[in-house]
Amino acid sequence: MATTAKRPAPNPLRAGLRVGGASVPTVFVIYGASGDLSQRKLLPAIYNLAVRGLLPNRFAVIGYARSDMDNESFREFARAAVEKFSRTPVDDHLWQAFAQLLHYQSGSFDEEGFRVLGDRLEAIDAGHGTGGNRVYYLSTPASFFPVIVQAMGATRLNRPPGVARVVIEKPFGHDLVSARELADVVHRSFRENQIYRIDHYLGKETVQNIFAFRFANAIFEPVWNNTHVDHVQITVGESIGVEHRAAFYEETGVVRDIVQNHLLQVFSLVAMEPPAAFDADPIRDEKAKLLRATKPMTLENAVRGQYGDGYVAGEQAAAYLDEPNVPPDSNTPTYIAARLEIGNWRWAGTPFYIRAGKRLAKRVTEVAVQFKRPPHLPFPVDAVEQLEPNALVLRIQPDEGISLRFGAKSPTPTLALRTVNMDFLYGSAFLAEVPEAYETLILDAVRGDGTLFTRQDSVERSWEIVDPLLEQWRKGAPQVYPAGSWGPDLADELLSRDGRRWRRP
Amino acid sequence: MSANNETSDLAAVEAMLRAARGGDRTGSVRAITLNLIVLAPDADGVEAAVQALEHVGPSHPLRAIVATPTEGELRASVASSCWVGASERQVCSERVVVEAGAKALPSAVTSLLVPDLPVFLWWQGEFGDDGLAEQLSRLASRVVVDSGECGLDGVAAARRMGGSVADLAWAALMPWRDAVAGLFDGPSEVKALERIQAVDVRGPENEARLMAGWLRSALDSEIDLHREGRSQHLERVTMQSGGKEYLVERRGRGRLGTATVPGLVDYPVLLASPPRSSLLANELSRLSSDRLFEQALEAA
Ligand SMILES: NC(=O)c1ccc[n+]([C@@H]2O[C@H](COP(=O)([O-])OP(=O)(O)OC[C@H]3O[C@@H](n4cnc5c(N)ncnc54)[C@H](OP(=O)(O)O)[C@@H]3O)[C@@H](O)[C@H]2O)c1
Repeated sequence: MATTAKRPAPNPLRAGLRVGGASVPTVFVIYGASGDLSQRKLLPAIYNLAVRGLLPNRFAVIGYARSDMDNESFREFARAAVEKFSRTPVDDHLWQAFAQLLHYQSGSFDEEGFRVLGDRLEAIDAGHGTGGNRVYYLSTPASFFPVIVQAMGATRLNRPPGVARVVIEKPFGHDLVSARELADVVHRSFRENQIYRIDHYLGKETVQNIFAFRFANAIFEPVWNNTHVDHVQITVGESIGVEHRAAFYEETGVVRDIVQNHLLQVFSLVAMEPPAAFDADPIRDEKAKLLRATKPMTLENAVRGQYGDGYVAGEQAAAYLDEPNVPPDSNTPTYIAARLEIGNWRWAGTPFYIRAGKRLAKRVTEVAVQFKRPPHLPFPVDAVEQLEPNALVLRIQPDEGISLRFGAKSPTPTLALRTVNMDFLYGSAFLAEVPEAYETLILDAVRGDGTLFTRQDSVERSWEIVDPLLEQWRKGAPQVYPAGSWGPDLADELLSRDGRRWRRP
Repeated sequence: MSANNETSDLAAVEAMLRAARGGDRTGSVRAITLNLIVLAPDADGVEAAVQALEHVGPSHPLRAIVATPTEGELRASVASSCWVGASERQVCSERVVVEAGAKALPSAVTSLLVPDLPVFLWWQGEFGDDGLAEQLSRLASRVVVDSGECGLDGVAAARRMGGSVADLAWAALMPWRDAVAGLFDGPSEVKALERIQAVDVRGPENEARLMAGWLRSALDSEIDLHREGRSQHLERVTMQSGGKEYLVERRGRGRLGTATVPGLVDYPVLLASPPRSSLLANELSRLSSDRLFEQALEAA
């Protein structure tokens, strides 16, 4: 087990400064600094955070990998990466100053290498006043995570003089058992609250928008329950196919790729109880509670599909089985529709239908809350034949916004009621530059704000929810659906047997 | 997109703004979040306001009422600006420039406010202790001034009007305060703070006094202020503790500076403050007063 956090006396001059930024001196260690993620995302994000003035004044980066580089050549390497991938152009003047923060140590992921790294870290602490606080970012293939964490424990990199945090990328296992194994290894060197698991499907903006919508308005939350809501539909549609990632996708499939992490995250934000405070642990407590109340998925309540050929947005698309590197007898699902049930007071009896897939008609992520019909309609039957029940749609991408469907009289001499949509796009009320997701995530890790990171209890519970289905779906075959459609017929039956139908996003 | 129109009848302004937005037939939804009254002393002030508004608008859709006291007749001109963001979305702001005698101006402004939304006042130049300042301040929940223009006395006068007050010069000091605070971010330096008796500042008077006021109030101790010569911009802040020197200094004319902490390698700090329009936009994001600023001002 690991360090207890040491809290130095606070700097009284810090009050009111850097709201939203980080000020605690820190060294940021990138394992795998020469790799792809480091070049594409991490180094550009760190540069932009520095330019935005959000990093601590005393901050240093140390890159670690086998490639043979020294500080100077790593700085050149970093500059090339930032020039290629940064969302803002590189400012020559600022770069000179930024480059001074960058250091490099070459070595393997073993104890010998980590001892040298430890010496470098101490030297940086001494010269730069970084106080022994560390953020370790594991930007390596997941198979190295246990190796690195174990070697950090053996060389005491997990117990620096200050506070240590470790950031890991998904996947967090491929089922419940492997997720627990990984966690056990990591927990031998770090406490849970030192671990920052990145699953950045939902940007901070979106999470905050959903919270603001649900918990800052008195008119929606009172009807956000089984008394008023008939059912909820969550759609995560992609228009692309597997592209060149067939090998990865064959191992993964739609459930691991989208449902276990992304979709269940959206689901828990929409269905959870209000947190006591807008802080990491209260929020993650409520998410975990919601997932615990969610029943594991069953064969009877789920449908799988695999895309055939067809047309997506006017372009011809090949079938999954004809994609490069997909075995001709693959039964990997590229589509899922399922009925989720929540056993708690708020939602018992109100099903959440979810669907996700590749090569669907369009790229969209949305949550549609379908309300019950009014108990009585005091209008002639032909006046209301086009009237749909109220629906509230939270659109997450591509154009984030909210749309409310309600009935209104159409301007005709006879009484006829129609359904109209009232749309609100976040972008049309406020225009602001949205930072790259990695900027937010890195900054949050440096600040120690875990709100957007996934906690182990939720990781495990979401595997528990999907595992039974994964097990049963090893056998049998998915139903083929045409590329460019909204999925297989069986998905429609899943709803029609409950007297409902999918909305067209 | 922008449209212009002049009138001497304030009752016509709403209809003209509607027309400038393209009329209601297009189904455009107005999503305005606040009223901003700008008191511009002269034509240059109006021009500065118009330019700042172009930058503030996209993040704060607002109705701006730019008011200038004149000897002449009441005149108003109306414009609406829209900005297109990603995926063709639009946000729009409205602007009414109104000239009238100082006595008539407050009532003209009042009639142009969008109901129910918060009102901010940006007072350019010296803050008068006269009736106009008082009446316009009374309409606003927050008054924005610039102590570089009105001096700290002007800020104090604005505070006496009762509402919350923001100073753009104080806001511009943020990167400097941050760099100075950063000198003491390490556990050993926090202790050094206890022994600071004086601060030397090279920079304009209002900024030097605010810097000293901030240190006094944050550290709750008597700290002498020495001004090392006059300069138009803040150049250097130095403090001594236990015979050691802690300092932040601007490098040349650039956005960067150097921080010096005894025992550590000198390190770069960002000293650039955002443009004035961004500082203004920030002040429009809050309604309540900034306690830290008020305490610094009182101790300045
Ligand atoms: N790439 C992306 O855009 C992306 C996006 C989202 C998530 N991710 C996740 O991010 C992580 C990193 O992905 P990546 O694409 O950056 O991987 P990558 O390009 O393969 O990088 C691996 C890094 O680890 C170093 N390395 C490998 N074996 C080593 C060893 N034995 N000892 C020391 N260093 C070693 C490599 O450098 P040397 O060869 O110099 O040692 C390289 O810097 C993965 O978990 C991935 O799932 C990546």
